[in-house]
Amino acid sequence: MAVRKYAAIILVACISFLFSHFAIAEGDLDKPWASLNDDQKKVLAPLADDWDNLRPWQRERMLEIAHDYPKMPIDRQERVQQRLTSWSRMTPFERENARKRFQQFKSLAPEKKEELRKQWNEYRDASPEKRQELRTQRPEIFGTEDVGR
Amino acid sequence: MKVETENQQAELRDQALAERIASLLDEQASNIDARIASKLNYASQQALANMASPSSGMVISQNGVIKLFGNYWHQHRLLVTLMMCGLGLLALLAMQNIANQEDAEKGDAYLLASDLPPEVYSNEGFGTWLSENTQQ
Repeated sequence: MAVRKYAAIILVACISFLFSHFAIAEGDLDKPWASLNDDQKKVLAPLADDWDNLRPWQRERMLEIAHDYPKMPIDRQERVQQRLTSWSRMTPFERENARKRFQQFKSLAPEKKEELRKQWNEYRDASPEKRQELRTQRPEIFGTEDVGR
Repeated sequence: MKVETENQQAELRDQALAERIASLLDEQASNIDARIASKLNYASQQALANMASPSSGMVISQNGVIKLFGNYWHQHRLLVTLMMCGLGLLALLAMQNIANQEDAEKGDAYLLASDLPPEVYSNEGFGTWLSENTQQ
């Protein structure tokens, strides 16, 4: 009798735990703009107009960005905000490819990474004509279109 | 010698008490209601049958330790199953937390804050360049 009682208690505890776990996840997925807190709104401000049209899984990804944002230095936070809109407009396929290549980039040898950073800094500071020239010379690095800084 | 005599007297007293208890129980048992006697008889048969049944369906229960566990398993299988499920669930959540920690620098925020714009990472040509340079 006592065993059944304990078993029932454990079963109820496990079910409640599972429900609460998934309920939190579901709740996070379906957040309209109005329900975001001030910090989240501040980070995701560039997406304010588009937010309610985003799919639940896109919102979840964006909320993850808002979660990681305060851990970054100011200059990186600015970059995140500048790039949020274009990021949200990329297709899921493009974003997934970008994530894979970002991980690949991180596994490059330090000198390769540094070389690439240097080239990109030069590209950013160059005139439009020079950037066009660089894109023609190194499309694999600078792409074929003038992307945001 | 004196101690031995005292012990013997104590044993005799205990025996007399036990006989008295047994006779009282017998007396009460003979007066018991037939319906209750039938129920008690049934319960005792059930208890004996449970004791006689194998402690577990496990063939490997010849080993003493496993048999001990087998007995426990047989008697509390629901509780043990639920405990195992609970432990499995906890292990899963712990692994998820570890994976989340490992992913700490893998979030989209870090990609957006990277030295290169996200469009570069979605560029096929850059993917090829990365593959070539990662292998080197």
